Amino acid sequence: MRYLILFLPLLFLACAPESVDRYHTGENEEEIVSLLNEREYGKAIWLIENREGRDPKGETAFLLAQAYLGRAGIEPLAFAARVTEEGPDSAAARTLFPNCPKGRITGKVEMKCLLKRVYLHAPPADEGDFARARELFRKSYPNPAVAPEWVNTLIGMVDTISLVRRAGDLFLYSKGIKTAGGKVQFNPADVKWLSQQGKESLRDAEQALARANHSGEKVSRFLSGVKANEWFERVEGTMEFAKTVGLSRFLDFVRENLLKASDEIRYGEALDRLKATLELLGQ
Amino acid sequence: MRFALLFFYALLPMPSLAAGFDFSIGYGQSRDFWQTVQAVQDRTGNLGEIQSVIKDKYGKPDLVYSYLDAAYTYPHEAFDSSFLGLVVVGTRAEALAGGEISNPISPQIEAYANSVGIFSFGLRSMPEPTANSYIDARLMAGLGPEKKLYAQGAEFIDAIPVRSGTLILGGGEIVFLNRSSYGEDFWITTDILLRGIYFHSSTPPPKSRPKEEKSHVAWRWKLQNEWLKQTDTFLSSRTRFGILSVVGQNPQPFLTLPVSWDYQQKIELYPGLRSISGIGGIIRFLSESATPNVALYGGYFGGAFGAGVDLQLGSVLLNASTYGIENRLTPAREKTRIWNASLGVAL
Repeated sequence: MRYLILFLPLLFLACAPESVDRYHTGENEEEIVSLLNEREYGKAIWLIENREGRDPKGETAFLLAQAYLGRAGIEPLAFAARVTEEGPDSAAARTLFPNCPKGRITGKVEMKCLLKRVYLHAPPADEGDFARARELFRKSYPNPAVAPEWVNTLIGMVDTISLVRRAGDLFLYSKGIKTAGGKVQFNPADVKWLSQQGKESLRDAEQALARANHSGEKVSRFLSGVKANEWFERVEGTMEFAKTVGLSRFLDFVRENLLKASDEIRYGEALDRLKATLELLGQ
Repeated sequence: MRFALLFFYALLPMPSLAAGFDFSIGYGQSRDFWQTVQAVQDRTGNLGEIQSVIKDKYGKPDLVYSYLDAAYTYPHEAFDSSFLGLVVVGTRAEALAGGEISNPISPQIEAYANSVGIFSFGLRSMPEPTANSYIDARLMAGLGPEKKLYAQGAEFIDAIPVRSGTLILGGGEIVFLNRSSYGEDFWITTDILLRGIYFHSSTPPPKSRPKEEKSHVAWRWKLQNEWLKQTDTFLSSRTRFGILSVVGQNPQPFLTLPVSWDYQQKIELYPGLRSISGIGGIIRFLSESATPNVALYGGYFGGAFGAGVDLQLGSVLLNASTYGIENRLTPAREKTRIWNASLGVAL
């Protein structure tokens, strides 16, 4: 019995957590990271939202965002690997910069071809899980200046994927617009979508730039495995331009910076239509 | 194994000589994580191949270790006490390596490897047939080389630097064993380990984790009990069976992890109830002279199944066991299954 007496106080002493808050936070993170390791993203989301609600803050929001990103099909290393591996053969791939190499990227590659690869692997920018991940990431660490470098890298990567996807969608949309007698014709029901894409693109770009400014070249490197500081240098200039002169001239700037003369010949007409569309939207 | 050797003193049919020597060697492993590290390093810059190496390794920590522990004891004349009547001078050499890749969304890789030589000095009880309690109290100090590796996210793309330095340690340890009988046929054995060690490493922290701790004070405690009923079976007239309970960090019975494990894992005094509790069953088949004897045990220790077998042949003690060891490199505290074998000799 005396040993039981020795045993029990030790057990009770050992069971006492240092503090209730720390105990719960620790247990939460332990379970969530464990579920992420198992790629049980749905369970991780369920667990966090049931415990913390749909609007958690700080580190919990960051964990929830990771779970949503996983469920959206984006594991950063796997995504970057897919971008550098053989490109998919889809209708979009054949339409968008068809002369870009289709095989594995090994050396230097044109920026537009890299962007094309990112576009082809990106989920729709407004797809539920991806959009929620993006919003939660931004909310979890709202100030890039005080966020850890890796946090900025991950959030910047998500916003860049989102931006590239929107830009690609707009570009492909413009190629599908019909003209009649030289005038642009498009479905008026698309106006809302076009307007939203324009505004959200600017928001994505702002976020991506802010994060990139605090994580060096890592966003672009992590996204594609390729050093691409110039991505953000160009986007930054374009952003400033867009803010002051509007989206249609923003498009001009993109054409000047991203497209070669031969591309301009090939895609010029489609881009003209897109520009006209944006002007119609009053941007 | 030191527990087991002290226990072994208690089971010896004849009292040992006052001066003595004991040593133990042990080896345990899951897989060699540094092979994974090497595979990632060999594919620097090739994300596709790096991804193929690590995609199925998330949350699967690995561990490998070995040790050699030797102690020489002799009676002292500083004071008159059989309870602390022996001076013990010990030396230990151990090697430890392990690591983990975690979280496919926010990926990180961490690996460590060290070897340490430890010198210890203290007092130990004289083994006497009438004594029920034994103690081994020592001060210890040691040092050895260490290397570490850490990368997160985009850092996987570049060559991940291996950082190296020296790990030093100093502290003390008390091992206490008591065996009591209640009536003719009920036995309780209590093993207690208390150890406090200060560690300091000169290995620089990684760029992306500049606040990584270079010093750590590890308090390790463990209370292991056997609650045994003795009966007569066809295998042995002295068959003892009952409950095996363990509380403390890494609550795996009869398992000696490297001392430097406490530093690499940054163990906490209280890591949570699940992490400190273990319970199972044990059966011992004792011969009339108490040697040789066999023990089989199994249970749920530290949140994972574990089992082992002890075989005592004369002055030799063999153990083979498997456990799920909790890894604290990441918040997930994933477990890794190790296979452990040890051999101890008391002369």
